Amino acid sequence: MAGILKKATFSDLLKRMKVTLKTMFKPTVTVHYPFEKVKPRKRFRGIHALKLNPDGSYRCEACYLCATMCPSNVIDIEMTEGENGEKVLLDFTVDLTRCLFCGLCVEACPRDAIVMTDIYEFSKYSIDKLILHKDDLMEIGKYYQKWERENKE
Amino acid sequence: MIDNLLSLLFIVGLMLVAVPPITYLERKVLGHMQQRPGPMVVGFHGILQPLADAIKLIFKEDIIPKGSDKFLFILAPSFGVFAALLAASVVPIGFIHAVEMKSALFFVMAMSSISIYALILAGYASNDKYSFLAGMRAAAQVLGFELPMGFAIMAVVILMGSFDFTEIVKWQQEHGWGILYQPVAFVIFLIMMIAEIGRPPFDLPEGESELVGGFHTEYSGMRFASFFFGEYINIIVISLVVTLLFFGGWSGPFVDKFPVLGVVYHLLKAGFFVFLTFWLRATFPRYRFDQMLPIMWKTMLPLAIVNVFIAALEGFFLS
Repeated sequence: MAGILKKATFSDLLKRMKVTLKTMFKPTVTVHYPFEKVKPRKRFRGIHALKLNPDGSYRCEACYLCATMCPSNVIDIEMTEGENGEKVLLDFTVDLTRCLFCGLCVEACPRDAIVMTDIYEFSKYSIDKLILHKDDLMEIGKYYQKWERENKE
Repeated sequence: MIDNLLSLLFIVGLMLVAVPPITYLERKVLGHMQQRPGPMVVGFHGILQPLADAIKLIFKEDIIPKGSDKFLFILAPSFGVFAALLAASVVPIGFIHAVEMKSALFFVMAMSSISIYALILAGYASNDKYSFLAGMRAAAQVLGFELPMGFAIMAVVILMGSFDFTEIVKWQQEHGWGILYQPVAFVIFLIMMIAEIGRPPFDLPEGESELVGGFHTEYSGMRFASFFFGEYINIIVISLVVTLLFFGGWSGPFVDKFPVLGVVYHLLKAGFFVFLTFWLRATFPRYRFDQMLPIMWKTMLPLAIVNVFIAALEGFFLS
């Protein structure tokens, strides 16, 4: 009997309609993406960057640890022997088309040379532009070092 | 004669002009019911969105699929708009009566039934499995809702003694709103009207989750848009009719002195029912087909038939 009464008065349906009507007057939670952006968290793993020493020399010593750690073969390093027998970095390539942003390269780096930035908008019109070379990574590194100074606790 | 022509222009113009704002309002209402703002980019709070949509639809490529029945394929979308506008022409708004007709209510019902043919023909002509299934669904659905809807209307007509909207409103001005006498007929008519105009939760022929887009899968550009023109005009017409039958139409305070107020009252009351269709769409998921037909045949139809007897008794005691 109670079930029939419930059906006849549409009480459960009306309850649901009340919920939607109430929600209509709540403030919206949308972020208007191209106009507003969500700031990523501090440990967000965006695209890679190469840091420089304060005197302008490369931090990366071409030890190949990051390239060895990488599960998808993203990093490709070219190096040569310098005058005093040390390793000299020639090119450092990061292929973003394959990268899965796991952060293992960053953890592997003994010199804190390769880091991940908070940049998540890196779509390009051409696929070759997604392969970042040494100079691109240094450029991003400058941005990262500024970001790091501003976000230090 | 001139009067009628002007009224006809007003009503048809109103229907055609009101469709873009209604699509905008629907998207806004749906959005806010899901805590998102809806269209927001084109113009102030997205107010120009219908215009942008119209431009997009006009310039879209018009595709007629291979193996389709070309004649019916082209005919189907215009059929919906045509039937909806014909139905609109006999519905009075306030003191604006375009076509005086003794059996106006009957004509509206006939025309809104015909507008279902747009879906059936589109489904048949598209040469597409999904569209065909949608056409079958539309045909089965029309069998389901026509009968209870007819009986619900019959109850009102028996009680008020006329198919003419003017007479119906006059009766209500004397005796009070129709919903006070016929609440069951109102509920049945409301549910069936949503099925008739193919709105959620009864939008089975559209069924975008299981039938891709249903009857309009193969349509593009303006042909696609005219289906929606027909659908939204139907929403307005049916909302006007439900106000006329159950909520006193244009009756209200001070209508005798200022007839314009009647138009305002009528449009406001109908506006609530247009809002109701958005509200239902935001609230309820689509019925499954095997759930919908029992609702119509096993619940609504017996209720509606019993209700006709009740209406007859009411009419007997009132006279």
